[in-house]
Amino acid sequence: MARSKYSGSKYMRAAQSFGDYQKSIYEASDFSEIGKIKASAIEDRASRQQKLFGLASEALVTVDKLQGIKKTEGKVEDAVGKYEEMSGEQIDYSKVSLKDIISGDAKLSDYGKESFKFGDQSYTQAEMLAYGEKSVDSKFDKMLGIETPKTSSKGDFLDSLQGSVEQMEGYTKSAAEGGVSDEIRANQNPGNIQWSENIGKKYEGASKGSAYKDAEGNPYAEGHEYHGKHHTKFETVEQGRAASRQIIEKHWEKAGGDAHKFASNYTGQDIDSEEVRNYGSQIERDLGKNTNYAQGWEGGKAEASGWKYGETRKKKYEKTRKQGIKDNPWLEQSDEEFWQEAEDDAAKQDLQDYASENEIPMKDLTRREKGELTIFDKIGDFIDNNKPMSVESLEEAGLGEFAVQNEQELFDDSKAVAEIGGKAVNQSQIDKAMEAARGRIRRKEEEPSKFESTMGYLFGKRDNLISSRSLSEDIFGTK
Amino acid sequence: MWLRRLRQKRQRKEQKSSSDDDEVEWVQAAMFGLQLASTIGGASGKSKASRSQLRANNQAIGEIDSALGSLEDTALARTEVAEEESDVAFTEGARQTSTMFDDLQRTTEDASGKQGFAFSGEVQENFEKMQHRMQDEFGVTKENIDRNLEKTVASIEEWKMGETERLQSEKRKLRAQNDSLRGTSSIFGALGFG
Repeated sequence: MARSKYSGSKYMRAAQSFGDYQKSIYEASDFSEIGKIKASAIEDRASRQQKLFGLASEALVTVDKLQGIKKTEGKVEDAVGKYEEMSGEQIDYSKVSLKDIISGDAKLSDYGKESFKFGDQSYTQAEMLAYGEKSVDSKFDKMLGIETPKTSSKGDFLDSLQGSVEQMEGYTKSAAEGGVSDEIRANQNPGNIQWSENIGKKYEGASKGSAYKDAEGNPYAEGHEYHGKHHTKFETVEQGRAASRQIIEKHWEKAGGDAHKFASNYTGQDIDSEEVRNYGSQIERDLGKNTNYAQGWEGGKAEASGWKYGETRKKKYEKTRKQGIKDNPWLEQSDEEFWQEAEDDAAKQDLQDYASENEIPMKDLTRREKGELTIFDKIGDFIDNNKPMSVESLEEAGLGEFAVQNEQELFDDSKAVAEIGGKAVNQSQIDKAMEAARGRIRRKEEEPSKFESTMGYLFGKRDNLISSRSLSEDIFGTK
Repeated sequence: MWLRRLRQKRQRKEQKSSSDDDEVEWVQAAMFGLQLASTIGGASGKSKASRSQLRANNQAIGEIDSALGSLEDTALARTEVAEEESDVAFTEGARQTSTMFDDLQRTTEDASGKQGFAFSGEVQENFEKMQHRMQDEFGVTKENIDRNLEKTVASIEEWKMGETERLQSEKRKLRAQNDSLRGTSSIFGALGFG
């Protein structure tokens, strides 16, 4: 460097010293400036984060408010359903939109105002809410028509129903009291649910339990409706309760809130049977005690009315979703859809098993399932259930009509005359013929190679019994 | 009577407020939507501005680096110019002194010839005195030129060091700014996550 030769100069030393001084000044100034830049950046970031927190809390408040709106809408829908059911009137719902204001059909001050019209009566949303909440005064007396009822939640209903079922199924009874408590307790199955493959699929760990047993503790004999049926063994009592609760809920909805229909559906027994009568009465007693039975559970009946905010869109969505699941099997079914399908499959399988075991053509069983009973079906049930053979029950079974000779005969069984196969018969003839028929059935039962059961016998004879004439021959041994 | 009126009034107010609440809730949802849009829009604008500023700062840093690179050459060139000026000044001083010396010698010889031998010693003595004085003056002039050159070179060094530090300082500040700007150069960062 050419300037190096001046390095010894005092001027140069002074200049270098001044340069060092300037460097220190600049560095000091830089530290201060950079510190300010960093501080400003930190402040700026903190301020932006504060704004984000504000926005997030605003979002939470908004979500909460929107949930509130949905909840309110749900309450209004519920109230509409109840009112529709109570009044028999269909809702005429309207809401003032911007279009109504522009077209001059409504005032700007009425924007968003909802109107719930039932016949010639019109109510606001607040009134519908008040009706739904039952916190009303005399203004709503006309709407209610009755004393303000107390509300009952779906949970209260299900709790009560579950309690009744557990009692009636014997879970809360000892064996000495007539319950099958030891069995269902061991199976952790308070609802005494029958085993099916679908139960196993739905509840992990649930397995096939012991076979159903009769009063003597023996498995049901072949031919009995419970033959080959098994209890379900659940992994835990909680699992058993969850399964029974779901089934109870489904049956209760299916029965439309009728305790006796529910009992019949749940037990699989005839609605007129004593067991179902007792079962239904117990349920009614418990519901009356624990809930507002007459009102139904919240939402249960409202849903039945079919009106919902945005119902058109929902229906369209459901249709699309159904088709979507069909087209795209990887889409998951909802619990309800899975359960419904599982139940349908189970019912179909049961029917096929029964048909196969009893060598009955499926079409006959399908017909019976639909309630299209023929005279042969009725005879089968009649004898199988060992009902008393009487003129009345024969008539009930559709075996013939009374041909009343005179008024006195109405009060004298021995003189009552039935028209069977075109032949007039009286009670003593019927009793005799049926006794003979039972004897024949017993004999046939002793010949298993030919007839496996009473039912088998009757269905086997179906072709011969095709006409009322041959029926008469078979039962009464006459032409 | 007044109690019933009061109850009716309260009831009407409650009904109205329930209906109003619904509207307020939807307005609140709309306001939240606007606020969200504004926040995201603001963040987007800020990130764009940050990126633009980053680009400009990087360009400035590039220019500073270039200036720093040419600073040494500039200083060297200025030093050479100063040395050359110094050489010229010295040469000019030497030429003037030489001319003055020649003039003095000629004048002395003329004076010796005109005044004769009797005054020749005195003239010679004066001539020598003048010659010494002229030599001394030339020596002083050279020292001044050398000193001035040193001063000039020192001031060039001072300028170079000052400029280097000034430019380095600018560069440090720009880099610090860039560090801060990088945090907000994306929308995510500009939202406050950076």
